Amino acid sequence: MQNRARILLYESFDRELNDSEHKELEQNLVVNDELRREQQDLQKLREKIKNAKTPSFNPFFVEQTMDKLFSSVTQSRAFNWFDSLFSSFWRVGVAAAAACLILVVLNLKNVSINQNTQQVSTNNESLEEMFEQVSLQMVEDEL
Amino acid sequence: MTDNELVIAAKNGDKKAFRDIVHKFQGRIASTVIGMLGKTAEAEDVGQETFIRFYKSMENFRGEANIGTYLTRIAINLSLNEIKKRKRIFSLFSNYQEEETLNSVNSLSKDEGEEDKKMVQQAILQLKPDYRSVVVLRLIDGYSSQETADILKIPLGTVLSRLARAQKKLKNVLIKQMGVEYAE
Repeated sequence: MQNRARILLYESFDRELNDSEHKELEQNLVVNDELRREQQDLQKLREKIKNAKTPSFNPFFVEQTMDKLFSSVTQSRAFNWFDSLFSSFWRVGVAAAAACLILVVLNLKNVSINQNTQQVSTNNESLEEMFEQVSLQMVEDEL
Repeated sequence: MTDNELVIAAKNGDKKAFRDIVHKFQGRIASTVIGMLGKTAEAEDVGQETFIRFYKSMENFRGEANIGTYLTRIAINLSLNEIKKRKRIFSLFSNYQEEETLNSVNSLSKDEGEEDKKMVQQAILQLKPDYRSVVVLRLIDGYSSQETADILKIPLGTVLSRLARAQKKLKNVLIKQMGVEYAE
């Protein structure tokens, strides 16, 4: 009961009590010295807090804020420019990288085909040489 | 110019209009931020950051909420983040809370030189951040309990219970510091 009265006391400072709550609190305050003392303490406390005016920011606060604000806006704009550049061209970049990769693979294939052809052509030459040698020998034999 | 006209002008690139907004609301934001963090260098940074965030989110500001309330919401969230950041950084030091309180209160006393104010500020800084935020908004900034609930996005009942607990704690702390006044 006393606990409820205390809750009502605290809440009476921060919200509108309804009629029955108000009456209940008043009755408790009449009969309960401790509760009355607590009410006075609370009033004093809240007054002290209210009067403890917090100091203001430094005198150049407005100028400093404006400077900081517009330097940060400029920075973020520069950052956004790079950002939008990146977002516009990343697909192009990926496509270019893929194209480079395909070209490299194709080139490597061509190189290996060329090497094979060269090898075959080297073998052909040696056959021709052999044929030439055989035919020369036949001519020599006939003579 | 009304607040909403200032915002519209600032949205259209009028720097002077935005400067007027900063000038007009700096006191209110100082009260919230310094109440939450003490008079420290971080409090000034959080104050500036509040206006920078507001500037960047101005496009989303439709004018339904009061600018002061909107700014206070940003300020309180940034202050709570700053407290979390401090806690992470200084978690290695066991006497973090005392150091934080002492530093901010010492600088306060240098600026203002009022003993009572120093005591109250010191007591508020000893509260847990959740309790501190309701005390700052409701008892220092003077928002209603419902506005406090809206700013913190918590139910009204939670605001009332936190306020009650915070006041009990503050009373105990202040009784120790200013004992005679409360004991009589």
